Amino acid sequence: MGPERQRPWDSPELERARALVAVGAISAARARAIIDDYSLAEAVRGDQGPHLHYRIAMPQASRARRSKAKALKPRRVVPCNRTIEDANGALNVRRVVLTEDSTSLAITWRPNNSGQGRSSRRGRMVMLGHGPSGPLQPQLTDDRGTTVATRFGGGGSDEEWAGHLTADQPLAPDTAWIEIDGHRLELSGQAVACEVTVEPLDDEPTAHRYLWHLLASPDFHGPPEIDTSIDALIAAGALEPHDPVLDEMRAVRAAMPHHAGMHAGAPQGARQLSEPWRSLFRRPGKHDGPEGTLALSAVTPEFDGFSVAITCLESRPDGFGIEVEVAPGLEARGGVRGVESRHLAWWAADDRGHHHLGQIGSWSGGETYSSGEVLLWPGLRPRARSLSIMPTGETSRAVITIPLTWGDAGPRGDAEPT
Amino acid sequence: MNEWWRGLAPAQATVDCGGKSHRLRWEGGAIRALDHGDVESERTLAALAAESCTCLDLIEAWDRHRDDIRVLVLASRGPTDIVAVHEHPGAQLGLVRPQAVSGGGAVGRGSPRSRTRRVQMFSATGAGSSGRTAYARLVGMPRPIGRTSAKAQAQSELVALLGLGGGLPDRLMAAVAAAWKNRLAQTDRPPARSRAQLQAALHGRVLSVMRSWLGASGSEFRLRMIGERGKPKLTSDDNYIRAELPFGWLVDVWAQGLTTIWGRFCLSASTDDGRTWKLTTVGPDLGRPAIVTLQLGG
Repeated sequence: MGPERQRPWDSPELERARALVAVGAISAARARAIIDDYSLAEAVRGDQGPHLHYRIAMPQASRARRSKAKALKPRRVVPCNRTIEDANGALNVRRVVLTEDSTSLAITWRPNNSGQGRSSRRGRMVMLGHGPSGPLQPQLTDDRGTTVATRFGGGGSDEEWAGHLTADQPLAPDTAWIEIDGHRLELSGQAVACEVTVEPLDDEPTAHRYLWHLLASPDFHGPPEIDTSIDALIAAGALEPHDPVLDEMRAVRAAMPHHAGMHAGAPQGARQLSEPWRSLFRRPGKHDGPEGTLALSAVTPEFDGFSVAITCLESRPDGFGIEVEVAPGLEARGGVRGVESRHLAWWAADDRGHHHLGQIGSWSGGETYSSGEVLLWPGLRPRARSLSIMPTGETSRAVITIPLTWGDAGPRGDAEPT
Repeated sequence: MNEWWRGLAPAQATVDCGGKSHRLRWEGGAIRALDHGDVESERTLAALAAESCTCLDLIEAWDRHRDDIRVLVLASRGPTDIVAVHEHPGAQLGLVRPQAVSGGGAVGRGSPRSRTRRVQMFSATGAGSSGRTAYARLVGMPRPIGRTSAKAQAQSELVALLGLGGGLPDRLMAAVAAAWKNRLAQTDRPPARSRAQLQAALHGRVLSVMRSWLGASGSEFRLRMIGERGKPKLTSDDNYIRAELPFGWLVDVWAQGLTTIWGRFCLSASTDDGRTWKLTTVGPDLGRPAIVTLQLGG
């Protein structure tokens, strides 16, 4: 029990508990009770002063059971890449997403700062749910005459903001156009059609599956620590101490970069790894992925208790990202985490057999819904013609196959790979 | 339950109760509010006036947690394991952090600059129910909003009790350990979940003693919790120091402050009158046990 550790989600006790719950060695309720007790014991031994009451309140949050899955509804995703300029600045609408329940616009906003002293701030800052003084809050109108207010969520600097405008009420999903403060935007573009299937994972021991899943869920701190979980699983009899798979897992962990795609050269031992891990390290330092954006309208049925929607794929030379929505809400690593797993591993594979692994980037949401970006590495191969994104749970995964037809994706997304 | 408290010195702390310094005193296995005469009458009066009384609330909390196994997890494992409850969290939770003034084995914990504050205690409802907690106003501090769960309520009570000075937290720990020793004596097989908690409580405290007694010996420590009638042992082999102790060691030895004496580890302790003690001890060579007899003079 280290007195310096102040965040209960960092605690090895929690990692052990999650592993033991995953293999059924202990009930989630029992594990939660133990974690609660030890978390409080740790808190009263630390110099936490005014934060102690949060420690007492926190178990209530982590106790929340996983919400029942509710499949996301189909959506109409319209690529746009239309820029509207006025005296206040330039608003680029990249895409419009319409469902029965919501309307949102992916935008970039460049305020007109002429005549004003420019801020020296260049770095991006997170600005979720910007208030009344935010960068912009235009009204939207559809072809039925419905007009609604919007709110902005995203990040940026004084010079550029990027994020989403979300309408306070949904517009008609089949509207032919929308107006943004009177500027009409024809919604004529089509998203790339994707094939969506769900498939079970291969049979393997539960402890192996848990650890592989853990390994495939890196975060901005780097690859997850697995030896705490391994020790707990061995102690519970769910793993043999000399299981050869453990060596392979440790080798994978040692090979994984601390940040997505940061390897300049092949890590030691990468060639001995099995797939899909080996192909992650096959072309170190190659940054020749295509540049382009595809608007997508893929929605999965329920799998492993989740439903996933992907609305965009953006490729860069060194990697690619997808914009996703997940129901119920995913716990981004680094947040308050319960003892039951609530995360997905984000695998992808192209039509040439190369694999990619993702990690959550900017993320927001709650218990029933979450959304954000997933950043995948390494970059797409120039010759890849289709890509399967595979959000993977502990027993099954969805496979969303995207034709990499850059020329059909709309005005901005039609750039051919360079 | 036998008189497990025999030999334990009284412990006492002061608390801010209605703007006055009041004394809480533990003696002979019971805790009392020395500055309140007719406790039941005062409790009724306080309820009628919709006011709380810190002393009475603390005593009620003590009674609710006197066999609460969580105390064994939360309470100090020894002199090097400092439980430091600061005044802010207590005040945030509507609890008071009393100042220790005297008592056997009094432990001065927390900042000496800490000031007690008059705040309302706990909720108006009893244990096991949800209730609305009253909070003292603290400038610049965020306050919990809304109702608290029964578990959070219980945890806040435990934090307040562990924040009592004057050795009272050690007495609460002893009371809980004695309650569980008694239960173990009545059943051969306690529930597995309780047994694990009891084993952890014993292991943590024995390990703490071992570390200060033997220092970094290079050997790993293993503890087997034996039955209450079992014969305690402390042995070693090449790699391990192995202890076999009953859970009741916490009551008979640890709570009495008899874990080591004359550089020897105490395996068991017994008394008939609380003044004369017979200790079974073992030296650092982990050789044959030897008896040490202690007598309180005067």
